[in-house]
Amino acid sequence: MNPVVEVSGLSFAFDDVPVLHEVDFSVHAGERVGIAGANGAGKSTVLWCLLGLLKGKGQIRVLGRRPTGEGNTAIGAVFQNPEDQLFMPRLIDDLTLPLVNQGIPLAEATSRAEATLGSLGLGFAAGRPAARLSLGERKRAALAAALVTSPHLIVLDEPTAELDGGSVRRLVELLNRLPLTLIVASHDLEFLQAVTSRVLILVDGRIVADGPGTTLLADRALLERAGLI
Amino acid sequence: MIPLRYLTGGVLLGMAVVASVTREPAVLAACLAVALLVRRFAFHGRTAWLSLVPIVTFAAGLALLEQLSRGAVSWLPARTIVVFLSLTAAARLWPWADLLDRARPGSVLWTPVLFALVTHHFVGILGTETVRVLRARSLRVSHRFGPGAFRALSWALVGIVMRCWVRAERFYAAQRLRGLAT
Repeated sequence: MNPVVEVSGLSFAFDDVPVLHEVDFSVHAGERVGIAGANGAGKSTVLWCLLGLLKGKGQIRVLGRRPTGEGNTAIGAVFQNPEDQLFMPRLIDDLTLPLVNQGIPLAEATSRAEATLGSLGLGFAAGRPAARLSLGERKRAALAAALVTSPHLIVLDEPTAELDGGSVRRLVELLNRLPLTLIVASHDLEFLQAVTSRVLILVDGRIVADGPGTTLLADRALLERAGLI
Repeated sequence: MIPLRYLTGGVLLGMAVVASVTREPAVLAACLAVALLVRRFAFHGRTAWLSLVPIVTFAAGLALLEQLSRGAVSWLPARTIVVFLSLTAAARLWPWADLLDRARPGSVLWTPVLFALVTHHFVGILGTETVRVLRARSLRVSHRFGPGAFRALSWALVGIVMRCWVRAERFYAAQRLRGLAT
């Protein structure tokens, strides 16, 4: 079976500052992969390259295609800051927007959006603007916006940043219920352990370890070297 | 309430157009007075006034450049402020959800409404970032007009531009991925 994500020899530099060096990995259908690393290790850059928002050197194939950064309903992305994704006057409009934009009738789009919001415990917020929700709710709303197009792959960038313990727990429960391929960039080790089965550890733009989360996240020397503890 | 909000928003929009073309100081002053009055009801809290700092600074910079280049200041800086005040008040009052219900995908209104919503959202981000940066500055500067205060203000303004740049980049990327930027 072909991998969902194939990355080989990916290098990227901002101006002349190298950020990623020869990154290689692949992700298979149904796998839940965490990308761990200290601040500035290149986690978000890897995700942006996977989404096609940044162009680096090397080969990237996502769901068999080169990512273009344009609307692709098969990939759902959740950014660190929900305000970067949600801007409509009501949350339901934020969810229906990409669907009606694809030509799906409004009634069908609304029913799909309501079902998605309901499944994430946000049914009560459908008529409210995202800005009026708590940060935890906004993060779940951003996840709902990514899930509404029924993607095969979900990419999350620092999903637990600034969240309290209760909101993190709810997010873990939600993500563990999703039968999807998942790629999560985070430096929250407990969170990664709870939602992923495999972890890539990035140090200065290089993958220094790739293996089961239970093994890698218990290796104190490795975590110290990666600046994670 | 909704018709009144449409009406006031429309009046403010009209005022912005009038303010951008008028050569009459009295008309400009009247527009300014109305815009300030409406803002008083539309925006609450002390920070509402803080969000005006960038536009006032921009207008002052414009006036300074005019003075340096041709020895006189036109009405352009004043117009800039009035247009900004009118448009931001209109954006705050406009019943966006109702407007979105009327503008269905594929209709003539759809693209302009979407554009206005994105602009409205981004003005909100600009306001939030402005307040954040100026609050950070005020915590560091104990005397507002003391030594280093203006230097700190100019760096704060640079900070606002940089933060808004980053936010704009991320917002564009997120919408592009959702297929809305093409």
